[in-house]
Amino acid sequence: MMMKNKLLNNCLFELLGMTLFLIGVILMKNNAEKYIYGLFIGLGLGIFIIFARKIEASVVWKKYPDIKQHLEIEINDERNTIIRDKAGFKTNLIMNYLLLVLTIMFAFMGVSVYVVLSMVALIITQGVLFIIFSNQYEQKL
Amino acid sequence: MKNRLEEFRKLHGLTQEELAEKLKVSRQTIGSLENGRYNPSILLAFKIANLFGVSIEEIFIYEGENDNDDEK
Repeated sequence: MMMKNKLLNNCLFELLGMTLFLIGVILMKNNAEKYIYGLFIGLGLGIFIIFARKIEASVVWKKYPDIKQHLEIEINDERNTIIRDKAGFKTNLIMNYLLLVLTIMFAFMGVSVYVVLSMVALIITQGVLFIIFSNQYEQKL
Repeated sequence: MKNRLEEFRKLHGLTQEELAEKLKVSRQTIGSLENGRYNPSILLAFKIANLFGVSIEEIFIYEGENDNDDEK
């Protein structure tokens, strides 16, 4: 029952993603503001891809429960978790520097102020998320 | 940290795959543990000790401070 609800939920999100994408395409044809259709297409495709993978996984897992069990072991395996955390941490560190360098470069290259501000917003979001998650884990652990 | 995991595993006639399945970890984790490249969490150490019916100290031998690791 719960599994069916989950599948239904995923299908609804899939539909939402597709609808957003289509709205974006229609807006593009009607020459509406560029950023609006870009937003709809990006958001729609993002949601569509995420939930398509979830639906695919739930269908495959239902057919092949042994694959599901194997995958769950691989995901929850403590060594794999540590590897993921360490690799993620280092990747994040490098990406921070790259993003910062790129933002400064763009600012001096005279790239559109909206692009530079979007990148600054990303850097700030990253910092805020780090503080939020750090606080969360401080209390949890 | 040294361990006698391989010795205990062979004593119980288990392959790495079988042991991994019983402990619900990947086979690579068992391989890394046996090679001494990876030190288990306290939970996994307890699970291993329970499985073989011995104490943790009988399987894992603490050798001092710079035991751990490859962490950097």
